[in-house]
Amino acid sequence: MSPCSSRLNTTARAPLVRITGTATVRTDRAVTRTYLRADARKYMLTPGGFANFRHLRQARHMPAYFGSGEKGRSCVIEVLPAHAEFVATPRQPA
Amino acid sequence: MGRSRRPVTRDVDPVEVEDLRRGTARAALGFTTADGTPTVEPVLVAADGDRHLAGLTAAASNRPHDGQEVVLLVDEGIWFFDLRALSVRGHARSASAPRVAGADLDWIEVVPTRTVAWDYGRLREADDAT
Repeated sequence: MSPCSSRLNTTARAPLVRITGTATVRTDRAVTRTYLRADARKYMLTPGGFANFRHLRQARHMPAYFGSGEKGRSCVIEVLPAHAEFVATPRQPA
Repeated sequence: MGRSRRPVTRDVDPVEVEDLRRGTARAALGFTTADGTPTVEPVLVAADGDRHLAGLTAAASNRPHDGQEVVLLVDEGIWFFDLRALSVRGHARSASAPRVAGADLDWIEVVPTRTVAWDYGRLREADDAT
């Protein structure tokens, strides 16, 4: 979906691109670690990410949550794109 | 700080993400096409009491047929602890446009079989009442 801000403007949306392809579930640690590092750089090691750590009370639960396997084994879903298209998005009436 | 001995969960009661049903968050409807190919269409969501309504544009490439299994996913947030979502798995049923939303959209009601909601800002030990 589009890279929208946390609080969306209901009358204007960024364009959406739908990518269709073949998905492969990767569970090998080398791949999952690579993407975890990339996610940390993008979503945590940035000004917005640092500011989000005002949730210190929840942050202390992160190691237990990710280490518990509650949602199953960590994986990366790789999509080999075959087709991409802009998709019309329905708009909230003004 | 001691090591947590109870499982940690992000799951919340769907009531806690009720605001996501009011049409401002990202939303998409997932289902399979006639040839079995998985697809997803962006939708506008609307709430009508307990009913989950999803509106597709006239330009939508695909639509689920009545009775078909679908998954409606509504989510918001960019940063980790802002991530909140509602996932409703169920069956599609044609619906009329809700009063407060787009009458130019094709509306579908998702009759739920399973509803899950999560909020990473509520990450906590399970059975934690707070």
